[in-house]
Amino acid sequence: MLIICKPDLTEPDLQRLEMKLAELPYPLRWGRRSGRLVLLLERAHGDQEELQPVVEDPAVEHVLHNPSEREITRIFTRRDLLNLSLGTTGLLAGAAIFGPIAMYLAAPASERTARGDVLVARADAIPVNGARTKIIDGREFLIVRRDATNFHALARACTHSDVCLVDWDAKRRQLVCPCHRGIFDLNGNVVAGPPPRPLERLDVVIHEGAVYVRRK
Amino acid sequence: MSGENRKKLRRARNSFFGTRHRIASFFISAADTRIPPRLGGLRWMPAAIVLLFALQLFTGILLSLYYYPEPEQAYHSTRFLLGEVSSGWLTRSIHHWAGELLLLAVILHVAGVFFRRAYVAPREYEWVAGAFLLLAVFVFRFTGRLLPWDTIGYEATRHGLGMFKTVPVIGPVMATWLRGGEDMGPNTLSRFFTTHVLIMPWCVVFVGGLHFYLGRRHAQEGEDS
Repeated sequence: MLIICKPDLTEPDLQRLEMKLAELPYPLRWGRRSGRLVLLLERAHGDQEELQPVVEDPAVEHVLHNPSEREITRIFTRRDLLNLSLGTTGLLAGAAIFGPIAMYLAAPASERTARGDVLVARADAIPVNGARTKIIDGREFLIVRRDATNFHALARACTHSDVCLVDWDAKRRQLVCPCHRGIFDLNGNVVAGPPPRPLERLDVVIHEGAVYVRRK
Repeated sequence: MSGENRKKLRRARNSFFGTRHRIASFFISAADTRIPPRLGGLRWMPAAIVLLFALQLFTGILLSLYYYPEPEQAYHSTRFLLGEVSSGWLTRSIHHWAGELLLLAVILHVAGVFFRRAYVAPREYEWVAGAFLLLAVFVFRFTGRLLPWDTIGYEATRHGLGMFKTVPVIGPVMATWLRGGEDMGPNTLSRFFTTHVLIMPWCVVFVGGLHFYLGRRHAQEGEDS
């Protein structure tokens, strides 16, 4: 038999109920369910007369004579509290172990600030007056090293006819389109030939000895 | 086996994997193992060794995620791990100190087995496999020390390879093999890296498996360990 008490019982209510329950010869489990005191008498079909004082107590709201297994397990018992605290402790311990591992696996702060930057090469892998090509978001770029510290990143597609790709002419220190002799300087400006617009350029970032191109 | 264990085993046998792969038999044999009534004489040391080795595998995998086995990059990536990666210093320290403790645990285990005279018949093969595992620990330490490509590691390896050269006849050839050339360079680092992370772990898994299996068999047959 499951006895569900009213919410917010006062101290006299509890004492009175306790005295009545103490007179009963049945084993008793008690717990809490949504803030209410819930009593479970193990003997389902007890002596009705013996139970009468408890059932009629003003503190009792509702009585289930044949509670289902589900109704019983919904009582929050001391064992449930222990299980919950053990589970919480386990979760916290797990978080203490796997949290740092997750942080370890995440890219570190210095890498995160470079998000959107595309690594080209280590700076010393590109000689002065040399160039590297790099495909960024499906478009080809030339990364040219002008001197020790200055790099330029320019789109290879010629603005005159974008099926042609410009090359770095190390001797003339200019970018030359082989199709129609379009010539650009290192800032992408047109020096000679038919191209109507300067080449698109991207910023270059040097970070810890590596060359990155910053996406727009 | 207690009643509680029996219940667990029945559940394991009837579980999804148990009904398909007879995985329960493994747990049954594990549950049937007799634990010596007194775990004196360092008989618990193998458990510590397995635990430390598992820790080494785990932290080693984590370290390998940020490591580049190439001379210049090796040092920079180690510096990067220590300075920038969250808990990178912790991961490396755990790997380092668990390695030190592993050597200590292995030496204590060998000493325990030796003074209990647990290597006598029929456990000779167990002892021999164990000797190979002891050797494996030294190889792990020797190859691992070079990987950060710092001065200490470089010099330690140079001296170690120098000792190889003093072996008569085959010494110089062996040193050249290990170095991957006449001088220490990218080849050396590459070889040491592969040995440390690929060859040795699998050797230890197989030889250690044999060592463990033999120990289990002898224990089940009631031989004193």
